[in-house]
Amino acid sequence: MIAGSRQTRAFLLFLTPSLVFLTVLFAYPVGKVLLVSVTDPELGLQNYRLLIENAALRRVFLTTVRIAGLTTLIAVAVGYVLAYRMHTAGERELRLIIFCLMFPLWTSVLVRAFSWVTLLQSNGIVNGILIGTGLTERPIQLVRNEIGVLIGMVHVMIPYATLPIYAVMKGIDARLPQAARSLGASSLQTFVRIFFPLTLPGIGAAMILVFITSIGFYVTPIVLGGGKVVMIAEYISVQITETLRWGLGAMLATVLLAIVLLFVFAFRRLTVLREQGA
Amino acid sequence: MLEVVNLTKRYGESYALNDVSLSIEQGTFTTILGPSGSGKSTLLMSIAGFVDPTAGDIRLNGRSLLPVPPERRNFGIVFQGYALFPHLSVRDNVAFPLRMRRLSSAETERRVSEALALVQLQDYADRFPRQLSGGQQQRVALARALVFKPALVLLDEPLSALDKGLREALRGELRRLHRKVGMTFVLVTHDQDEALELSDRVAIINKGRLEQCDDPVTLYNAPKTRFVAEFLGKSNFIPVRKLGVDGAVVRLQAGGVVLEHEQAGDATGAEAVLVLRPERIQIAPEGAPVGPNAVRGVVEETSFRGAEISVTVRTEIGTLLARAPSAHPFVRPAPGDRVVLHWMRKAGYLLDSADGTEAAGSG
Ligand SMILES: Nc1ncnc2c1ncn2[C@@H]1O[C@H](COP(=O)(O)OP(=O)(O)O)[C@@H](O)[C@H]1O
Ligand SMILES: [Mg+2]
Repeated sequence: MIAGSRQTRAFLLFLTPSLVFLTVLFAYPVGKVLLVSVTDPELGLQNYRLLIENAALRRVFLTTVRIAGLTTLIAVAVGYVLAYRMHTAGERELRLIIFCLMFPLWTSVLVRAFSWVTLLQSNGIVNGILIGTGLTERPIQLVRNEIGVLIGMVHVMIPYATLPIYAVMKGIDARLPQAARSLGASSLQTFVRIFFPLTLPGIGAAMILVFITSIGFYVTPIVLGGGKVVMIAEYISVQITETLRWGLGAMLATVLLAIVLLFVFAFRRLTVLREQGA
Repeated sequence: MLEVVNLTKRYGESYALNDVSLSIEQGTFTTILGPSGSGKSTLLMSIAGFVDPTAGDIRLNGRSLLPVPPERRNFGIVFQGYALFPHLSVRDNVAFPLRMRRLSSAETERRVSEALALVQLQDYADRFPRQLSGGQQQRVALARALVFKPALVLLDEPLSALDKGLREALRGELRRLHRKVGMTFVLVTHDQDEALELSDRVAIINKGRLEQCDDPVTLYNAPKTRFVAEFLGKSNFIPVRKLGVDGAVVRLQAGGVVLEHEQAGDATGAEAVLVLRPERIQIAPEGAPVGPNAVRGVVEETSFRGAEISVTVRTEIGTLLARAPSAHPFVRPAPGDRVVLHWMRKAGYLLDSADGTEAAGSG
């Protein structure tokens, strides 16, 4: 008994710094945001009602979900191919791919977004190549629209999509595909019926990670969307800093957080169920 | 019939397999036995088609298998660690090879039930591999490898992940299964008891080379190399020099003692090594009347091993290990006792010194 309570006390003591840290820097501000969303300009749920009633707001939401969704699909598809390549690559090629994946992570998102603008604009390299090879006569509009935002966001998200999938592929027993082959499966059948199903948890993890990150993107849509593509994070920022509708901004932030938590929770459920074999 | 012809596999500068030739008769149980890292899995995976040999050939009924991809070889494989598909139920694991062969669903179902019954897992069809014990997983792997009636069944250390009791029980089961289905089994193991008990023929490999391939009795009684003699249980190795031949009897000089030996053996040179299994050496009290091969010595150490007792004796021709039944009514050797070790003329086996010195240490 005594030892037990002393252990508990020691445990709490060790936990205190992180508890304080979390309270001050996380729980308190989030609580405050929640509070503001139902008290500004007056007590009530009127801010949340706007989500249903206000068409502009709904459009921002839809744009955000659409762009985040498309980014997720494209980044995870590209990430899967890359991860598979890494899985089958020799040591030198693997190191090269990892370098190319990690290098952009050390560059600021802002710099990368502006680089894409110079590449994608009407007189940029990409349009130059498209016109030069005769694929198109006039420059294609690749920035200041959703295409530009998608390109920029997919680029940022590819490492986040690739690495979880690669980790899962690494964990697959190399004898399983061999077993499938020995039992009469062609390499395509082996991929479809054995390898791919075993990588589904990696795909799930990558999708969740990419989606919850993309849904809050701020810099990339501003720079590559050129004011034409407004995602929710930018909209919140405008409410807070320009129109000063703090209640509305707080409501949107709360909804964003709720969506993210929902996905994280759903993912946890999914993986727990898998592990239990249900 | 499966023939492995001068098979060599090199990884960089090192040889995983070095000029291995072996033939395996239809319907037999052949075991590839060797220490860890000796190239057993490489040999098995070459037969399966997952390792490309550097040189040599593998033929089934006269036709080379090298151009045939693994999925067309029609061999059932039980992998080391079983390699059951974790996302498929036991039933779907066993049905997998039949689905790949596009059998009708009725036929698939019938064969799956049959295969599961064969390994006594009828009641586990809906479980997933992780819900099974090691022994049950092993049996699912067997069912999956047998269900499509393969031309050959390859098993890579199927029992080594299991604990001792279960391993021995499954050994008997494997033997019965082989008799029942009548297919050709090729098993890889590093466990000598497993090899001796299960196989019609045992191929012993060491450092990528085939040392000897024979039936278990020949291997045990007439090892061709010191490695084989040492790997299959303990042996005494007595360096001898041939003095002369009297009909069937060879007279040998060992230290200051003249020994008599009567059995062919492979030794041709004047210098040889007499291989003597400990259980072939009798222990008698000093002064007891004994036969031709008798050496005197002092007991150094004894160890009780249940059914038998192991006795290390320092003799005039070196330290020898002998074994006696522990129930022996007269012999109760204790350290310090003066004893006589003796053996029959046919008890040993003569090796050339060159073969005999290949492996290090003595039994
Ligand atoms: N893919 C490989 N690359 C390099 N060396 C290998 C490879 N596979 C096996 N070897 C080497 O070949 C030798 C034989 O290996 P293996 O056939 O797995 O032995 P065993 O199954 O008898 O334990 C070992 O020395 C091992 O290190
Ligand atoms: Mg092995």
